[in-house]
Amino acid sequence: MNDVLVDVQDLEVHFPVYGSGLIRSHINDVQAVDGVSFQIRRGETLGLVGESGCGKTTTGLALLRLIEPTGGTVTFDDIDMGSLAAGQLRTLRRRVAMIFQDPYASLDPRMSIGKIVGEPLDIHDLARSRTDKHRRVGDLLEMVGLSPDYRNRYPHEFSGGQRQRVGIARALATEPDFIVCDEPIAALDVSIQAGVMNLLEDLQRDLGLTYLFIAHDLSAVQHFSDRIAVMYLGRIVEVADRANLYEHPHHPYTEALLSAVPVPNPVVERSRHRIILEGDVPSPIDPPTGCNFNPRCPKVFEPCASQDPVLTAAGGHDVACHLYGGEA
Amino acid sequence: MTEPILEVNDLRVRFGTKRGVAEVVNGISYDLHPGETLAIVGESGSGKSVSVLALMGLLAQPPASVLGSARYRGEELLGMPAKDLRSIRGKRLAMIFQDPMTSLNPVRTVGYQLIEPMALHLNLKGGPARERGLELLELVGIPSPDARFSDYPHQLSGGMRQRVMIAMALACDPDVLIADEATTALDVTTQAQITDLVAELQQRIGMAVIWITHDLGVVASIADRVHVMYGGRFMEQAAVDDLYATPHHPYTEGLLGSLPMPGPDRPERLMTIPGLPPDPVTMPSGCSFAPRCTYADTDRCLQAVPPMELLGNLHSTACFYPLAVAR
Repeated sequence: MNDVLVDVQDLEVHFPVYGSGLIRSHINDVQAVDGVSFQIRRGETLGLVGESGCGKTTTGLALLRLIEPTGGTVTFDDIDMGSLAAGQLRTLRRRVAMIFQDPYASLDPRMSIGKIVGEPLDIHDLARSRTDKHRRVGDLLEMVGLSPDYRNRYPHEFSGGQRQRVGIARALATEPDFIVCDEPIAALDVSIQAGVMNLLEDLQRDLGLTYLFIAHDLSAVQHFSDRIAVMYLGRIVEVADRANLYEHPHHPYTEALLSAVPVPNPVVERSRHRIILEGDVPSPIDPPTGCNFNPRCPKVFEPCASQDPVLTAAGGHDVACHLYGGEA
Repeated sequence: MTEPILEVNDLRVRFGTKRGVAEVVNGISYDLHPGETLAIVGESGSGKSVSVLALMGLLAQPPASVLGSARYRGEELLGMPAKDLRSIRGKRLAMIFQDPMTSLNPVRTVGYQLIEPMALHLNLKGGPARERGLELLELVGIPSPDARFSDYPHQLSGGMRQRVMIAMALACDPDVLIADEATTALDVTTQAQITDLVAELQQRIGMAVIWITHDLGVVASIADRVHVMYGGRFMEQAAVDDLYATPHHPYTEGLLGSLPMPGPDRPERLMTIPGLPPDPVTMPSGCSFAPRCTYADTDRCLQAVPPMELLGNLHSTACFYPLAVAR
């Protein structure tokens, strides 16, 4: 058995931009994901972190072909996702699932909780009988810490944290191997976040799940992940295991991002040096030439504006930066 | 100690709703001194935003009813005639809101909105107002202010919009700046830019800041004093170092324990607080945290509201069984 469950190579998602004239000519592309490669091993959690608009959610969606990638390949358990016809893709989708960011928008308000959690069982024809389905929905609700008696209630009767648990139960319904968690705690209150994080951890341990954990909150990603990929403007700038990334960030963007995360400890806060980045993230319609980070990089030097750095191994990290010899 | 610039005493806010009276703020008191940064921390629904909207006179009455007292330099703000309040609000007391997209007017240019408070409060118009507007944009770190002056809000990024909001708030050199979740909608690197900017401006201008947030990480990096709010009451108040080092209230302990700490070591399991925040229409009769508290007992905690008690150097908590206190 291959150790790598998900293998992403040069994944590219470009959204076309059309002119406003009578003939809506294709004038440009939003390069939301622009050549992203990473691997996720069985049973591990890869954290994908980046600021809003960097393409992390699009990456997650393209991975499951919920958005069609415009380039690159995604291999899931040695199956090339891109080559699958609609029927085959549907069969494969039983083995992958997604937990969405907003528990208020991702549950149909007109479906009861039982229906929401049971729907994947119907779609994939997994329940042998009505009683079997009833039992399994009950089990799923219990697994995420909700009472099976809630099955006839509707989403509006639940709090944000409980709704996110319903979303998790739905994702678990088909007994998937791999779950893309897209900002699963961002919409929740602080005291509720911890409960959902612990639940995801328990489920991973008990069911042997593999996660892609997408978040903008580096503290949450660090808490949760075995390895972390840092994304900036459609590209991955650094991948390393969690301790390594924290102690020795290589890429200047990773360094800045780490230093910007406020630590809940005033003594530490006063003593640390914060790297304040200048300016804003450039538009993905017209990204800078060379390294995407070069207009804001405090360590910019000669090759950065002209040559694309390539993700290369350097001291246990994969880093895309000319400082570490990542030349094209 | 200097005279407090703002004194809030037993502030209460209620709303009449179809289901009954919602008790959103249930008697909070604090002083704010010139130049200091006070953080009010709480989760959504704790009443933190409503409490400052009330003292700014920004709640429509009815449905709200505001009781208690809030004095700015000795002058009572609550119940002050609208005309008088207008001469203080936006001039001496300024506010920045959470969402810079919805709190800027989308059909007016940045420049127009920036000049508006100056015309109103300082009688500054035309050339001098524009001059001052450009100065402010520069002060908050907006590149090429000349060009941005005639831009509309949608042409700016989130961070830039929040900078414009700050520039507007600073237009009349306020004594007190209230920042209501001012960085919540922003990315961390932009958040760092904004908190840095406010701290720098504070040192330069000497204004006091009330920072309202749910993020204990941000609080650690900017606040002098912290008040932890839950169910419309303060649970604990302390200097920032004391609060993080020795939380006395079980709620504060729970909040701090539920935060993932950035660090190289494999983290421990996070603490969780069972249950849900209270419904303001059916507030518990005792301590508002008692139904979720692991230390609560039935006789005292569920029956009576614990008073705020001073336990150490400016460190007080409203709990019958405070933690980490020799008794």
